[in-house]
Amino acid sequence: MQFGNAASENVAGRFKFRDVNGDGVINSKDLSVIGNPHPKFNYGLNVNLNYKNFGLTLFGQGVQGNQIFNYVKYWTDFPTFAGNRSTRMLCQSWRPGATDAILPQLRSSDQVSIQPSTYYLESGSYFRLKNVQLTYQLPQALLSRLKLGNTSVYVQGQNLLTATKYSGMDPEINLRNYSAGNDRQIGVDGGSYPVAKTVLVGLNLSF
Amino acid sequence: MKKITIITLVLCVAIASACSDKFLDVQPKAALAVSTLQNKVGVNSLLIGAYSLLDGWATAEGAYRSYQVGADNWVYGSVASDDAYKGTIAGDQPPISLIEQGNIQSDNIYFRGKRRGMYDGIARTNDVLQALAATTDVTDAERQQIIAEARFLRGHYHFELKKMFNMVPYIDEKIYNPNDLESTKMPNNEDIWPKIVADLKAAYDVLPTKQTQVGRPTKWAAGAELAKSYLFQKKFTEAKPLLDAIVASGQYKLMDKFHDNFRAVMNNNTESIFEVQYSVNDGAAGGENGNIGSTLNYPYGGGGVTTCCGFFQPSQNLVNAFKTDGTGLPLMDTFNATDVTSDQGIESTQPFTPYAGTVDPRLDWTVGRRGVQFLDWGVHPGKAYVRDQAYGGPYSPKKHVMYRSDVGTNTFAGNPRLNANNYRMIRYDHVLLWLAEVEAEVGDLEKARGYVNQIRKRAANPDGFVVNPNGKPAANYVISQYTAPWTDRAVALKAVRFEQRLEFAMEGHRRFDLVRWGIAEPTLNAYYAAEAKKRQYLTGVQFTKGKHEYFPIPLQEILNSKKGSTETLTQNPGY
Repeated sequence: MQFGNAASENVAGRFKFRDVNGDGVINSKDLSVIGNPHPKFNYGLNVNLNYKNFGLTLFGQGVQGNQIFNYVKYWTDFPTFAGNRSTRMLCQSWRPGATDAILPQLRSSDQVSIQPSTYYLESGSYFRLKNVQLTYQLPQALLSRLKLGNTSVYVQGQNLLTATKYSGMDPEINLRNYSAGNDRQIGVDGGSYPVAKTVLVGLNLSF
Repeated sequence: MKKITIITLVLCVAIASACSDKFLDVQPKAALAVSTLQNKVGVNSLLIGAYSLLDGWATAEGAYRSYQVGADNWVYGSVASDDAYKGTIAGDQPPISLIEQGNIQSDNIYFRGKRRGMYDGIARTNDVLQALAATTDVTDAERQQIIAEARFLRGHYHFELKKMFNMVPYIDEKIYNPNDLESTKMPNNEDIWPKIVADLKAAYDVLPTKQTQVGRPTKWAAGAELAKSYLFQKKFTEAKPLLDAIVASGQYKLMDKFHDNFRAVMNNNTESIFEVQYSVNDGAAGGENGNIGSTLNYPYGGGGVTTCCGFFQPSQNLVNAFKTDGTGLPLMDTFNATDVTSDQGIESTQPFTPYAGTVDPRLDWTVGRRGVQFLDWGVHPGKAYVRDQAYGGPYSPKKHVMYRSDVGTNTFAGNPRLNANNYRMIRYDHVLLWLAEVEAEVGDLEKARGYVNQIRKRAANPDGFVVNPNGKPAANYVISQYTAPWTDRAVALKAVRFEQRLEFAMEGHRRFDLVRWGIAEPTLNAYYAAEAKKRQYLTGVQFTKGKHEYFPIPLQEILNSKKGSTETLTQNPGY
């Protein structure tokens, strides 16, 4: 049972859509809510370690149990406009002999596979090390000789590590505002700009 | 004690009269209150606003919706028929492809866009009528005229919805309450033709035969629109006197050249009965009044006219329909047996021999094809003008395209795709061919032949042929009138319908005409089967009788129609 034109859709190598209302036809009556943008819980982690003149602070944050509608795949995994494609499309599309695929058989015109479906849904859980800072406090003996107050040097890294299974650029997506007057959409990744990794080297001087 | 009572009473009276709670009702500043518009200037401004929705587009939602709701119905009337393909590339605007491929679903955003545009227009006409009722500084004649124009527009907007969706609620100024969002949640359980007819009739009875400002409907525009609605209802005898009166008025005539109907410099000519007025460089910051609904429908590459985006390409079937036999008559039954040769698969740099067979000269004012002068942009170079020939075929649209000589004067600064080439909603050639249809259905076949011949005579004017830079006609144009008497009603009707296709191709009428003629299913299913050999994506496409005559009520509108938990709107059969 397939969405749309039976001759082109009721063949091997196409997505199977679920007949949600069980009427034997796949159409817009089978639309249903898929996925949940709300995490089961948010959590954070703060660690502060000091040893002799060294100090280490860690801040991590994560969400667990939400899903993201990875709408970027509309552009990368399907023949939408002309442009760059994902390696998924190259290597994991259905073809005779490679039927254990995640994507349908490639064809030049395909308006059916791109319909919103669970294909776009992915786990949005992640844990991200937002901040790491290693500080070295210069020894008092040295400082008094230089006539300085408390002085430290540090190395700081932001967003260095992200643990996630999400395949998009960044699981930490913001609300998506499609265009003026439209509802803001939560949990839809329409190509949100990813956060930057930052490394800072610093010096704290006091006189 | 008595004194105290009196003083208290006086005080009470003083307080009660000194102070009302009026100060609590402050009229908002920098916002337009309805009361501000309840005067002659305000009502006329509201009326202009109601006209503005003829192009379907006036919201802040971005240009995206404009394609869904353009006045020329290119998606619903032409792409969804045997006249045109979506064109461009496969992956651009996939919702149109779903419609083109008969994969018609109620959640397609295009249907919702069209519906919202038309109901926005209806709301504005009702704003006019409500504000007018509270207006006192207009004369009785002015009042009647404003009502007539508003009802013409309201009838038109409902007509658009009727031919798209069939079962739709009719919203008039008594139902519509801008302060109550529930007020327009009306069921779609009745046939609204009588109400459309009542609006158009009211306009017809009052409107003058001539208007001082172009763009406003005349009595004849209302009469033609009313007659058109009768044709959709198969009430031919009711349509006939209205159409006859337009002819008898002597106010309109066919332009000498067919293509005079498709140029901005010929807007509002003597053939025009009602045009959707486009304008540019009029203060609209984004050129929004310049045929924004067709902004995707221009050749894509190759220099010259090319800008964007390669949509709306004529079908091979349409091109074939313009073939004529040796005597200059159309090949109504066999036209699609062989193709007019095209440059499909041939690079613009490679040689190409154009089709030498005989064709109707209107072909080359309707379709851009290789080797034929493309307006004043030079000779169409073929593949270089087309975004993806393998997908969308070798042809380009032509009727709405601006001329090079219009650039700057009739085009929006910086984007010539927004231009002032009006959409001719009703022309005198419509009236003549509708009369031919009426005569062929219920009247005199010879009269029908006469009307068709008027159209063919004009098309045959050699001054109107497309001429190539070598000074010669761009193709082998042979066209003639029907000289043998028409005696068979079925044959006459077929000829009239075929003529309508040729005359109005690519103008957004075809699918609606096929449906009202009751021949959509055989015509389109034959088309899909044959055209799939050229456009593989049409393989297996089916027009389902009893379902596809109308488009589905947009799903989101059904959800929005809920009163409590009950949906007010009912989906059309089959969806």
